[in-house]
Amino acid sequence: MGKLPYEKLTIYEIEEFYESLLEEIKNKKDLIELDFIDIHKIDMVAIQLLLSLQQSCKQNSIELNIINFSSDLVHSLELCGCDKVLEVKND
Amino acid sequence: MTNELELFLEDASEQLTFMENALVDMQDGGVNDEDIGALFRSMHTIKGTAGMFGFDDVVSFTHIAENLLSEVRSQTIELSEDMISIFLLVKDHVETLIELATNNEILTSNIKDTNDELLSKLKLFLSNNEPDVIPKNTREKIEVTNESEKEKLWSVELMLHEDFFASGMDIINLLSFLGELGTTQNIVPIIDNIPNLDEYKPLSSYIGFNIELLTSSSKEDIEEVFEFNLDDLDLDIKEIEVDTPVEEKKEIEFTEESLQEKPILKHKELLTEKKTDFSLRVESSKVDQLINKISEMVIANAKIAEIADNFDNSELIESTGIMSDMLEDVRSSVMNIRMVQVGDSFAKFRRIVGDTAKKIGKNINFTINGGETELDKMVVEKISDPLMHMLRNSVDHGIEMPDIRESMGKSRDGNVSLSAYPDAGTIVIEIKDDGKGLDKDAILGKAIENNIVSKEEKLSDKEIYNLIFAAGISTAKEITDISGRGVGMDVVKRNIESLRGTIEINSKKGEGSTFTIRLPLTLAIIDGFLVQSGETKYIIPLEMIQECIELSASYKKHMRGNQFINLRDTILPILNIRKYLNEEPSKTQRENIVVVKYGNYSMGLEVDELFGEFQTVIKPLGKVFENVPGISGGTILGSGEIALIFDIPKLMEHKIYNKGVKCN
Repeated sequence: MGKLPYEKLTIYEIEEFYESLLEEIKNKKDLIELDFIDIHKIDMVAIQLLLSLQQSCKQNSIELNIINFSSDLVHSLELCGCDKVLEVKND
Repeated sequence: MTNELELFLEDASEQLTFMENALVDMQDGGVNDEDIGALFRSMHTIKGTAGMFGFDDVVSFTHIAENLLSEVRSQTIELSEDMISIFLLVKDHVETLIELATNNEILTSNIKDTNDELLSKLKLFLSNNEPDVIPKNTREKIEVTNESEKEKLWSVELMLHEDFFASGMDIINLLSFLGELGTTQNIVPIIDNIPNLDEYKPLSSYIGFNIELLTSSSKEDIEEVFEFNLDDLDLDIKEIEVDTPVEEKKEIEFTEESLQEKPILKHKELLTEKKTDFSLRVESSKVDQLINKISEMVIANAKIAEIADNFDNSELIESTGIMSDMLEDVRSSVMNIRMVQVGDSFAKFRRIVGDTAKKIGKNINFTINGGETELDKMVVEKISDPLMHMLRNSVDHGIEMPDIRESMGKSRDGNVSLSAYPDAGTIVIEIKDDGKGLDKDAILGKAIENNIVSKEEKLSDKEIYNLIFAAGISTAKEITDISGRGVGMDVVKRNIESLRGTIEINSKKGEGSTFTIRLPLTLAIIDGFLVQSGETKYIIPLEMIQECIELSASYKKHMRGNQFINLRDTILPILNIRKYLNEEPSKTQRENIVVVKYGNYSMGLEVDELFGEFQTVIKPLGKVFENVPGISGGTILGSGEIALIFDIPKLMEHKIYNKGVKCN
């Protein structure tokens, strides 16, 4: 899936994003990579969806890579404690 | 703009007005709990609602202001004069931030500087309250604050309802605010309910949180963080017992009861206060629609009443009578919805007067009288700008500098008052100052210079004062940035006239000036008196009528062709309506005089027939008739005929100025 076509991932983008994730899962790929390089803001709606995605990937033995997750985004995760449950990378 | 955003803007501007009023109140009358409460609530509400729209700049700024106010409210920090001045700036700045946020604009560097400067000032007040600074009250109080600062560990469990996200609030913001109450020791998301992607609804919430918070805040304070979303989540707050040595624990328990009582009471007081303030927000167009419908009903009812009269059926006449009375009740209740007390809108002038005076180094005692007087909300809104302009004029040009005042034997502080009171079906608003008064010679000189009057004309004092309403006249020797450019007073007059009001000036050199504005109570329906002159029917506003007299032969004899009569030994000027409006000669023998009074003037209107009271729905006459002097509108009678409504002040003006006759 690669680079996400958004600047922020919030309630306004979520339905479109969800549809695209469903496609990915249906296509039964081995690896889903989400590149957050352009995204500077996320909200709880997005974090919750990523948690569901992570869970679905595990069950379907799909590897999930969430990359380029900036420190601002990580801070959002920390505020709600989700840094402990959602695996992200910031390279 | 979405409806929600419009509501937010409306609410925010109301909150900011509350805030300003409270601050100005305290500037004048000293600090009090009620105003501090109002201040805190304004910031708190704006922060909460701005958060729902993700206006982060507004939220982070108001958050600091709210924190400081919270300390003020719990009496750990004293609200000083300096702080009040800064909060006035805070109010202005929040207004700017909200405007930028709603327009999706980013902060300019100027605004950002103001933002940082204000924040650092607010934070300075907060940091001054470190334990080594002695709070304002007695020793007892010091113990109180020390105790209340004792931190406790709280377990906060919250579960979002499925439709939480629809509230528009981002829970991350709330959690961040919660963290600012103290230290978040631990936060664990509850994710067991999150379904797999194929059963997932992207706009539903499935998540919850377990939080351990170490804070000196009370349970109520923690609850307040979620105040706006209590319907959208389940909240469970429990204190976690931490093992403490027995003795120390005892001490806490001992003080807890006596100390916590007050804040809790306060919280309750606050709640009841909110309840009594309950009001319903209704779009003004809905009220207008209702008024329009009622107006139509009044017209329809007039028709029924007329038909009932023709049938001569006593039962029918009685029923229509009852119907008319009830309709009148409904009408006045509906009109009442639009009525608001002028005091709320006047309060903002205190700041304007204060700021203007400060800027030019004058001291002004500004008093507001009759703030409880009620006036149509639209009229109140439209009159606001003219009043502001006139008040600035009074402060800038009317009141002298303190030294000059002293040398004239006046007090160093100037006095300006703004009063409102009802008078004969109108509302009078008066601006009075004890400054230098209007300079007649200067006004006249300027008017001659601008070719508004000729040198030969002989004008009375009042006529000279009225010249300041002519465009382009300013006698101010220096143009300040506050006033003196000569634009304004003509606009002021036009605005007042567009509300069917009048303005009058009284002034005495060296003693001061009074501007008297008269406004109609309502704009839509009036109680009228139906008369006929020639072929046309006219309505005279009932509240202006003093009496009706028959123009008997003896009066006519005394008139000897003059346009006035002797009414109980006073001279009453007469305006012959038939002649004035070029009506056909009357068929009736009898002629009548309707004596009308407006302000200090009385005048007689010579008409043919009198019909009696009539509930009049004012309909605009349209562009063609807009400038017919003396006619303010039309109405439809029960018979379908049209009657014209007299604009009495304009008729009087015509009588006074065009005929050179003074009425008194």
